[in-house]
Amino acid sequence: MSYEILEHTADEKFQASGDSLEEAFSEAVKAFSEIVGGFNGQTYYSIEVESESQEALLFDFMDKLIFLQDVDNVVISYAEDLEIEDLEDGYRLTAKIWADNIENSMSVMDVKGPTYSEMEVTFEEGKWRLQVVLDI
Amino acid sequence: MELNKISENIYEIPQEGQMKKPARVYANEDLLKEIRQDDTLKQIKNVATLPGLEKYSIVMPDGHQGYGFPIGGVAAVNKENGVISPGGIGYDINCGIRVLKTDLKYEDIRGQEQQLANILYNKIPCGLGKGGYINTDEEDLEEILEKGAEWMLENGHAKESDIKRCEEEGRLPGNPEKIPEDAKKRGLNQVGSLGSGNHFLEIQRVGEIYNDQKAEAYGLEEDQVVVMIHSGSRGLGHQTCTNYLRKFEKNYPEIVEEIPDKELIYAPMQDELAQDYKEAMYAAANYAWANRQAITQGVRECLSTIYEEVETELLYDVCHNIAKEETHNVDGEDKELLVHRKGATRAMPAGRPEVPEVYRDVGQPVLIPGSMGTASYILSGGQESLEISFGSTAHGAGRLMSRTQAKQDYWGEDVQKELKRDQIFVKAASGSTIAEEAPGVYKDIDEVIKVSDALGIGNKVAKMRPVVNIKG
Repeated sequence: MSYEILEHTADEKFQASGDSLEEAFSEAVKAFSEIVGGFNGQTYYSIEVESESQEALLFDFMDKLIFLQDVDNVVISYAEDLEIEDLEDGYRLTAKIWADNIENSMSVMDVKGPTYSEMEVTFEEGKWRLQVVLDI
Repeated sequence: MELNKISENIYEIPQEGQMKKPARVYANEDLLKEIRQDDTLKQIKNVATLPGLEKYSIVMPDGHQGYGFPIGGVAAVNKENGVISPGGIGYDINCGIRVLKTDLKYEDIRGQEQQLANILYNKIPCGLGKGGYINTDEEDLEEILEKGAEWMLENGHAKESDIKRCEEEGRLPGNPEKIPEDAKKRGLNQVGSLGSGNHFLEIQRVGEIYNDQKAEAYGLEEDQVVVMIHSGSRGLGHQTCTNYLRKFEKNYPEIVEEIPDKELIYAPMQDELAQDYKEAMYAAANYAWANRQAITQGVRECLSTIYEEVETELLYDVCHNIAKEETHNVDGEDKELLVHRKGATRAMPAGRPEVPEVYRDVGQPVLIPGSMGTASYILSGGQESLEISFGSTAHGAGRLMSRTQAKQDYWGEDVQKELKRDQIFVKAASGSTIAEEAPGVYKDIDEVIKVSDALGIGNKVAKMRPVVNIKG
C-alpha cells in the first residue's frame, strides 16, 4: 500500500497502489488529501459511486471528492471501509470519507476536476496500481 | 517528430494518419525547444484529427501539455460537419482576464503596497471554502447563468461601461437548464471568488508604451495604476465540463474507440447533446463574467477605502478558455465556424464586429498576464490574426515546471522576499502557493509576446509591471 505524487507540467498527477483494488482506491484518497493540503479528519461522509468501468469509477470517485470539498467547504483526509462491489454492468464503491471543515486561516488547493489524461487502472504481479491527473 | 519550418516563427507538422489537416506551432526556436520537452506536439497532432477542422490545429508560443488539447491550443471547426469538444475548452469554462484602469499613479500607492495587499487579500475570497464576494440564492444563480454581466448591472454590481467593454458584453446565449444540478450546487456560493492554482489579482503599473495611438485609445499612460484579475467559472464551470465529458463518453462509445486520447471526446455539432453542451458552456461563461465582475466590485471597494476619490473603469475582459461561433474567411469563402480556444486569447483586428464599438477603429485589447514577478502585456488584435490564427493569440507565459519540482527548487518565503526587494508585494494563503507560482516556473513572457508581435497576430501596446499580487 502506497502512493506517490508525480511530476506534471501544469496539473497534479499521482499513483496509488495496493494488494486489492479497495486498498489502491483508499491510497488514492490519501494522495488526493496530500495534494489539497488535508488534515486529520474530524467528520465523515458515507458515499456511494456507481460507474460502468474501473477507469470510470476512479474518475467518478475523484469527482465525488472534489464535489464534497466544494459544496460542503471541507478538505478531504482519508477513506475508511472502502468497498468495491462488482455489478452486472459495472462497479459500485461505498466508503466513509473523512474530512475537516475549512477554517479561514487554512490554505486548501482548489481542484477543478478529474481527467482521463494518463489515467491507469492496472493489475500486475499481484498489485493494483492507479494513476490519475487532476486539473488544478 | 517531423516539423517543417514554414516561415519565421511558424512550424508545421504535416498531415498524416488520422489527421484531417496539418498542425501548426507558432514559436521561435527557444520556445519551440521548450514546447518539445513535453507532449504538446503529440497533443496538437491529436487535435488535428477532429472532424470538420478547418486549415490546421494551432498551438500558440506559450503552449504546453494539457489533457486532450494542449494549453495554448486553437481549433476551428466547421459548424455544419464539425464537432464540439469540452476538452478543447477546458474545465474552467471562460477562464479569463480583465484589466481595470484607475486614475491613480504609481507614486500615489508607493509605501501603501502592504496595506493594499492585506486589504485585498481579506476582502476577495481566494482558495477553497471562503465563499464569494456577493451572496446569491438559487434564483439569482439562474438569472446569472442566463444574463451574466447584465444581471450584475441590473442588481447594482456593475457600471454600464463595464458591460460595454467586456467581450460579448458579458453575455452569451446560455441556457441555465442545461447546467447540471451538481454544478449549480458548486456555483451557489462562489460568485466573486478567485479560486487557486494560477488565478490571481494583481495591482500593476504601466511601464513602457509601444504604441502611443493605441495606448491613448485604450486610456493607458505610463505609471498609471491598473488592476488585473484572472479567474473563471469556478466549481460551476468545472462540474459542467466534468459531467458533459462523462455524458459524451457514455453516449459515443464508437468515438471513444477511435480517438487517440479520451479527453478529446467530442459530439457532432448537429447532435442534440452537442447543442446542450454548447448552451451549458455559454451559461457557465456567463457565470464567469459575473464572477470577474463581482471581484471587480470588491477591488473597487478596497481601493475606495484607501483612496476616497479614486475613479476606476474597465479596460476590457477576455475569455481564454471557450468556444465561439464566428465567421472566418477560409480559402476565399466565408464560413461559419466554432473556434475552440483553450488557453488562447481572441485577438480581433480593427473593423471586426466582435470588437466593442469604443475600440473598433484600433482593434480589440488583448490582455496577457505574465507570472507574478514578471511583466504583463496589453496587445491589440493584429491584422494577420484572421489569416493565420482565426483571430487568436497567446494567453500568458505558459508553465515550464511542475508544481512538485517548483516546491523542491523554491522556498515560498525566499521568493516573497526576493520579489519585495524589487518592490513587488505578494500575499498568498501559503508559502507553497508562492513557490508553485514562482516566476522561474514559467516561460519568458517577453519571448511569447515577441512572437505574437512579429507574427502580427497581437501587437504590443503597453507593458505592465507587478506591484501587489494576491493568490489563493
